[in-house]
Order: sequence, then structure tokens, then C-alpha cells
Amino acid sequence: MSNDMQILIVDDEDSIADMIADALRDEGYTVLVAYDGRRGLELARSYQPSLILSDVMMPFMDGLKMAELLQHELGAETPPLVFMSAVDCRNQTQAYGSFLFKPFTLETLFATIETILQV
Amino acid sequence: MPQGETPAHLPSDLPPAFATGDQGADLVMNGGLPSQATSLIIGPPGAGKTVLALQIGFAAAQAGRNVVYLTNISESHIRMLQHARNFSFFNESLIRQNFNLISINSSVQQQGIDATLNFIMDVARSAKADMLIIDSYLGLKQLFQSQGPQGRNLMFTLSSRLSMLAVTTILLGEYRYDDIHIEPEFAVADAIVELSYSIYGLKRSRYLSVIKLRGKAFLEGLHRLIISDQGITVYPRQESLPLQPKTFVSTERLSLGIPQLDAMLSGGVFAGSTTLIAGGAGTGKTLLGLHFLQAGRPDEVSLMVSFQESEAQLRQRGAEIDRDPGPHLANPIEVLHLSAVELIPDQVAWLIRQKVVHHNVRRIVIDTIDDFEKSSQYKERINDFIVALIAMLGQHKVTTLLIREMPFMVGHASLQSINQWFATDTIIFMHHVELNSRLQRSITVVKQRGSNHDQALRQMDILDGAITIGEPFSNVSHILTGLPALSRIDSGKESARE
Repeated sequence: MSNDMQILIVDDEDSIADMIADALRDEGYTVLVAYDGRRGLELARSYQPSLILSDVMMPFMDGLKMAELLQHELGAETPPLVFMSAVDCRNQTQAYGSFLFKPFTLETLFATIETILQV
Repeated sequence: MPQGETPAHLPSDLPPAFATGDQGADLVMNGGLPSQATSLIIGPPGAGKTVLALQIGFAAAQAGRNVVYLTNISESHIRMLQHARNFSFFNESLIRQNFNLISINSSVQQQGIDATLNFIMDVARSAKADMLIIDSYLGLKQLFQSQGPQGRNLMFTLSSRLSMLAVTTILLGEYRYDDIHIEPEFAVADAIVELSYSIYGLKRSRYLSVIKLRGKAFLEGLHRLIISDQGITVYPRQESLPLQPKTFVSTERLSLGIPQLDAMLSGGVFAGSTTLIAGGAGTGKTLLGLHFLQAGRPDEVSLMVSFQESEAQLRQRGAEIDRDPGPHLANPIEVLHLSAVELIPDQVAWLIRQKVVHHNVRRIVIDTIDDFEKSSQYKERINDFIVALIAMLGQHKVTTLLIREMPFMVGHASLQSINQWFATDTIIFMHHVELNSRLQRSITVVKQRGSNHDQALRQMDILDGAITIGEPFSNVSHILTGLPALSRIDSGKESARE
């Protein structure tokens, strides 16, 4: 599959971020990667990706803070967010986006992305 | 300023330690790991380093402190959380709230030593961390080992910088004991805790030991450690606990629940004393213990520590002693039943201590002390262990009965084989005697410190589940051999063996 969708991955566990990035590139997406919330916010501001996949617990700025700032700055233009976490924090994340409980399969990830992006 | 005096502007006391979430470990470490200091937790893979660090972290988070757990190559967060959820100390609601799990890998792999140090400092600052745990520090250090002195002295740099933030730092590493003499971090660390294990036969036993705890006393040596659903539980080695001379001396006599035996002891045993009940199988030792426990006061708890008979068995036997207990006998009796198989003596001592301290236990029977010896891979320590256990119980004013199985049915009785005889106040000896082609039970008081006692070897029987003590044997001698001879009497007949 080839498309012009750009996805930002934000996760401090580089092994997970890089693995997801490789898988999404194979699916034809353009991928950006950040390893902490602060850098994630910078990339989101600069590139305004089609979708953000973000961990919740991260150094310097967690995923929720990043989402809050993005929504404050971009309002309705904020890219859709999918939070990924091994800790069940759906109550906190539901105001900003959907939630994937780690560990998840790539099939689940692709299905979630395709539903949101309607590709 | 005179030498040794603390300048007025400097704090003279250490800040309170960080509790480990386990009372035993806290006792060994004199309160826990030192605050605003650098501690190393070392040990081979599988020794429990991560579990201990998580437990300490969650205990701190539970107390409202901010904890940052930094990981590198040790374990993925998914796996770590999956494992941590199995422990009772894990509290999902603390995650993100004040327990943050953060990977350091991207910084380490891509940016080098300076960036990594800055990363750690920035994380500590932005999370307002009170505690920072690095798992594994050794893995981190090995990545920078080739980068000259800066890599080798990573910990010195790290701990100096973190001390500016008053952060308590806990570093984990799969070091070997010999590394202590070589690696500079062991000189820098304020505390070093080693987790280890030994293999004896088919059994693997885990231990915790404190190698260094700057500025504080701690319990020396190896202490048994188990990992269960509760997390880490440490049982301090009984002999390592401070032994204080017995200051409690009572003239109050306590009944053993058998009037004839009380009479043999001039009114009973002294409160807070220790009595050894020694005898062969089937002589009624456990039953005597039950008599003693049932004679306790209603406002005091009695405790049966049993390694063989279950609580149900013991309660049934206890009910047979007195089928119609009066109000004076309605004292609460607790039973601590632990299997003799793979018994951990220090665990038993710890559980007894907990019962004594928290349940107002005043009478204890331990049935039998032989099981400590059978279960320990260090048999030479068991005598000291029992002496220390007796001392602990004495300090808490507990009156104790220790039951000891003698390895004979009938035959020569030798108290020399009982190592604990000198540490006990009273010794009661129960024995089988072969007389007129039947086994006859006998009982005698061998020793009672500070009191007169009956010297006679008396006949004893168990009737309807209760002990009765009769008259001294008459016209026979050599009873303690188990094969008595008739004393010379007027008729001139001499020996029961004839």
C-alpha cells in the first residue's frame, strides 16, 4: 500500500518506536519518530502529521501533556491521537483520542489506523 | 571548633531512610535505604534486584514521593509491568501519578555519555524526582566503558550531580562479589545491598546481605529472602538481632495445666522462663504442650507452633483434654502450622516474633525444635539460632516450652545430646520404661533454675486424652536406662530382667 499519510510515533522505548516505524513504512506511510513528549510536540507542530501514535509515560513531557498543548494550540486542526500504553489510562486519554493497550499486534495497530484515517 | 563537633549550619541528622516495603528488610537495613544518597543493589540474574527496586519504588510512591524508574536494556516496559502486576505492592493508580517508568535507551544509543548524563538530570528535574532508579546501571556503564576515565567514573559524576537535586539514587547491576574490590562505584556508593542465592542439594535459597551502609549500623551477614506474590520478604537471621541480657525475672509461677506436674515444680514454671520437654516418640510431649497452652489466662494469647500436626488435629486433641472447659480455660490459642518440609528457621522465628509483638502472646510451645536442625543446611548454626530465639522470647516476657524429640524408645537417656539444655530454665524428661512386659511412661523434672523441684521419677499415663501423673516408681531402679531392675527387697528377689 502506498499513500501520502504521515504518522508521528512518540515513544521513549526506542525498540518499540523503531519497530512500529519500520512496520508502518512497509505499509507505505511516511513516518516521523520522537523519543520523548517534548520532541514529539516539536515535530507535531512542525509537520502536522495525519495521525499521532503516542506513549503516555515519557521523559520531560508525557503523552497527555503533549496532547493538551497540541489541542490548545491547534484546536480542531489537532491530528487524531492514538495513545499506546501498558498502563490502563483510558480514563485520562479518552478526552484526546483512542487507546491501544500494550502489548498489541501489528494487525490491531493497522486496523486502528485504517479506521481513523479511513484508508 | 573541637574535633568531631558538627558545625551549626550543617544538618547533624541523616534524613529518614526510604522503607523497602518489607519489615524484615527494613530491620536488616536499619530503616531502609538511605535518603539523598546513592545505593547499589547487586546480584546475579534472577536474584530479585528488579523486584526489590520496584517494591522500594512503589513504597516511596505510596508515601507520596516522586519516583522515576529508568530502564535501558534490562526489560521492556510491557514485560516489566506485566510482571510487576503480579505483586501485591503494585498499584496501578500510582503509575504516572508519582511513579514514572522511562526508557533511557534512545539517549544512550544515539547521543553518548554527556547527553545521557544530561538526559538523566533533565528527567530527574522535570519529574521533581525524590527517587531515581536505574535498571540496569551496569548495562549503562558497560556501554560507556570504552570512553576513558569519564566512562569509568560515570557513577561518581552521576551521584555528584544528582546530590545537587537531593535525589535518592538506586542503581542496579549484575555485579559479582569480586567486583567490589575493583570497580570504583563501590567506593562511591553510600549503601551496597547484595542479593544472592546458594544451591544445596536440589534446593535453591535466596539471601539478602548488606555490604555497606554508610553512617548506620545494620544486621550483618546473610538473611533469607523469598519472592512471593507479596514481593520480596526478608527474614532477618535470628542470631544477628541484638541479644540483650535478660532483665525480666519473675517470681510468678505459671501452671502447666497438670496439677501433679505443677506440684513437682513447686507450683509451676516461672513466668518468662523457658522449659525444655525432652522425650521419645509417644511419651506425651505435644499433649503436655497443649495442657500448658490451655492453662493460659483468658486475656492472654497462647501460641502453638507446630511442624507436624495440623491445626485441626491439635484442636481436636486440645478438646479432649478438657471436655468441659470452665471460663478460666477459655483463653485464645493460636496455631502456627508450617510444614517441616523445607522449613526456613528464620521465617518461623520472624512469624513468632510478629505474633508476640502484635498479638499479646504470653505462652508458646514449639513442637519440635528438632525440625529446625533437620531443615537447615547450616546445622552448626541451629544451636545459636535457638539460643537467640529463646532470648528474643524472654525479652518479650513470653513463657516458652520447647519440645525436643529424643532418638530412642527405651534405653539410655543422655541430656548431653541436647545442646539447648544450658539455655533453658527447666528441663522435663519424658521417657518410656519397659516394666512387666509393657511400656510404662515416666516423667521427671531434671532441672529447675532457682527453685526446688521433685526429684522423683514418676509414673505417667494418658487417660481419655489427658495426662495424669502418679506416684514415683517404687521397688525399681535404673529407670532412666529404660530397662529397670527391681530394687533389693526383703524377699531377696533382685531383678525385673530375670
